[in-house]
Amino acid sequence: MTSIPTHEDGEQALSTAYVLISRLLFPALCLLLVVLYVEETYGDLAWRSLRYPYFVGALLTILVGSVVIEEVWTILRTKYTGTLTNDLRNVWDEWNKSIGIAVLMILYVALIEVVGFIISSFVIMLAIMYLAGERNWKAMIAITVVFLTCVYVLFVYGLDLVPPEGPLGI
Amino acid sequence: MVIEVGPALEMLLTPTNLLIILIAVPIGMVAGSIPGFTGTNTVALALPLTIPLNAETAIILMAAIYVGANYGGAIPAVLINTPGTTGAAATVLDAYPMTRNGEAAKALGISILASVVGGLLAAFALLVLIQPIADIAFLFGRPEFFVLALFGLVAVGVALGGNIRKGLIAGIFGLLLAAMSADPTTAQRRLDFGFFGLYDAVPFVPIIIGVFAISELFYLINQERVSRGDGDGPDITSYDGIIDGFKYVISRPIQVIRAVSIGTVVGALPGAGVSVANFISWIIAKNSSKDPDSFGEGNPDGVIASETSNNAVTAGALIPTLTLGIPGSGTTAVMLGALLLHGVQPGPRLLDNFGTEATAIMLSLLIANVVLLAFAFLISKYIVRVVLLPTRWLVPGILVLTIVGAFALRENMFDAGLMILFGFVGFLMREHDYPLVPLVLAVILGPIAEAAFLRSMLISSGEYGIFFESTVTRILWVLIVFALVWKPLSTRLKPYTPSIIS
Repeated sequence: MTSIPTHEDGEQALSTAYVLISRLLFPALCLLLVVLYVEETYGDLAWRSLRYPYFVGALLTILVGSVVIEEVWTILRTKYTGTLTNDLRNVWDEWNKSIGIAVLMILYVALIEVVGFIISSFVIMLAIMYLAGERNWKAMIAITVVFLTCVYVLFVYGLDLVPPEGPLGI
Repeated sequence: MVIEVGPALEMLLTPTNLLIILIAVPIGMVAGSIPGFTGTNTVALALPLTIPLNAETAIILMAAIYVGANYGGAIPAVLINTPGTTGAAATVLDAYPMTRNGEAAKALGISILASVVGGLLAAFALLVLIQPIADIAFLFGRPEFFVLALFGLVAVGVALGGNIRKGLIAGIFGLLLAAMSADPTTAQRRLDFGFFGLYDAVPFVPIIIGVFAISELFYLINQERVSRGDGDGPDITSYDGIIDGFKYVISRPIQVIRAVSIGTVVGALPGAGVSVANFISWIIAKNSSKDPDSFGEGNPDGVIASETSNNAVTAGALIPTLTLGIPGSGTTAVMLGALLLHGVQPGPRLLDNFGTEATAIMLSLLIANVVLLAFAFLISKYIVRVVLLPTRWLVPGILVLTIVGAFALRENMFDAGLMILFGFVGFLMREHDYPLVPLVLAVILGPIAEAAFLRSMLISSGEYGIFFESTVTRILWVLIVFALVWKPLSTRLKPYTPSIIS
C-alpha cells in the first residue's frame, strides 16, 4: 500500500487536487454506477422489479455520501503544500511498471481477438518480461515457448477448451 | 435413511473404484489450481466420461474430482494470491501474506492438512448426521436465505473494514453490480451497457480473479520475488515447512472442528455452498480469536478456517443432494445430473431405494481425502518453489493463466476484459483501504439474495413482514444488529490503557 508522504514538520507533501482525486475516485465510481442504474431502469421496469436494486442503490449512496463528506472535510482541514504536476511525476516514478503492465493487459485482450491466443500471448509475455527488467532474449523466448506449449496442451487436450484462434488457426 | 456400511464398503473397495479415486483426485487438484477453472467445470467435463460407468462409480469419480479441485484452489491462493476456485477466496487473505513473509511451505502444509481433515471429519459427520442436518436445511426458506445473505455481507463488511463504512460500501457495491443483469422475474434488461455477457448474469469468476490476481500483478511487477523470505531456510523448499504446517493444524483442534461444522452446515444449505462457507468460517474464526487484528495479515488460523470449511462443504453439499434431491452447489448439481443420466431418480426416496450406493458415495469421500493427503504432500515440496521464481517470469505467466481462466468459464473474451477492468477496480480499492472480500462475496451472494427477496415478496404479496416472521429470520436480524453495533461500541468502551513509552 502506498502511504501519503509527510514533511518532518507534519505538513503533507502532496497537493490538495491529487489527494482529492485519488481518495474520491472509488466513491465517485460507486455513485456513477447508481446514477447509471437509475437512468437505465427508471420508468422502464415495474416498481416491484426495482425495489431491490433501488434499495441497494440508496444504501450505497448514503454510505458513499458519508465517506465523501468525511474525506472532503479532512482534506480541506489539512494543509497540503505539493503541486499536482509534482505528484503526477512521483506517481509515474513509483508506478511506471504497473502502468506499463496495465496498458499491456488492455492491449492483450484486444490482440487476442485479432491475432489469436498463442500469437498475442507470445508477444505480450515477451513485452512484460522486458518491462519487468529481463534482458536475456534467449531465456525470454525459451520460457515463453515452453510455458505457452504447456498451457495449450493442458487446455486444448486436457480440458477440451479451445482458446480464441487467429488467422493462423492458433 | 439407511446407512449400510458393510455392503457399501464392499461396493466401494473394488479395484476399479479405487483406481478411479487414485486418478481423479490429482486431476481435480490440477484443474482446481487453475484460476477460473472451477471444480464444477472439471466435474462437468467428467460427466460424459461416466456414461459407461455404473451410477455409484460415476458419482465416486465426480466426488473424487470435487475433493481434489477444492484443495487445488488453495495452491495458487497460497503462492500467488489467486484463488484457484471460489472456495479458496478466503484462503488468500492469510495464506498469501504468510507466503510473502517467507512461510509459503507452512501455509501450504496448513492448507493440505486442513483440507484433508475437514474433508474426512465432514464425511464422518455426513454418515452420522445426514438426517438431522437435512432437517436444519429444511428450516431455510426464501426469506431466511435473504436475511442470511444480508447477515453474511454485514458480518464480512464489518469484520474486514478497518472503517466499517468502507467494508459495507464494498459489499453493497458488489450487490449493485450483481443486480446489473436482466431482471430475474421479467427478463427485462437493466444495466448491461449493451453487453450480452452481462445480460444473463454478472459473472463472478472473472471479478474474483480480477480483484485478487490482476490487482496483485500491479504490485508484484515492482518486486523481485513473491516471497520476502531469504529463500535459504528449510521452510521454502523442503518438507520441514510443510510438516510445520501439519503440526500447526494438529495443535488447533477447536478451530478445525468449528470450521468443519460450518462447512458441513453451510454446504447443506441449497445455493449457499463452498463460495460462502469459507468466508463465514473465516469471519467466525477472526471474531473468536484473541488476536483478531492479525487476521488478513498472515494468521495461520485464517488458513485453517477457510481450507477446512471449504473441503467440509463437499460432504455437506451432498446432504440436500442425497436427501432432498436439491443440489447444495453447482458441482453437486452436475453430480445430480450424473445420477439422472444413470436412471437414478433424485429425491427423498433415493436413500430408501439406493441406501448402499449412497453410503458408498459418502465413504468414497474418506478415501479421496486420504489420496489427497498423500498426493498433495508429495508434490507440495516442488510447487512451493514457484514463490522463488523471479517475478519478471512469473507475472507474464500469471497474466496468461488468468486470461485463459476467465475465458474458460463461458468461452467468452468479454469475461477476460471484465477481469482486467476489475483488476483496476481492485487496485483502486486496495490503495484506499476498501476491503475486497465483501465485494467478492456480494457478487456471489447477490443473485441468491435478489432471487430470495423477489420470491419472498411474491409469497407475501409484497408484505415486508415476511422477513421477520420466522424464528430463524429474527435470530439473523438480531445478529445483523449485533454485528453493526458491536464493533463501534466495543471500540468506544475499550478501557483506556496508557502507552508505556518512555
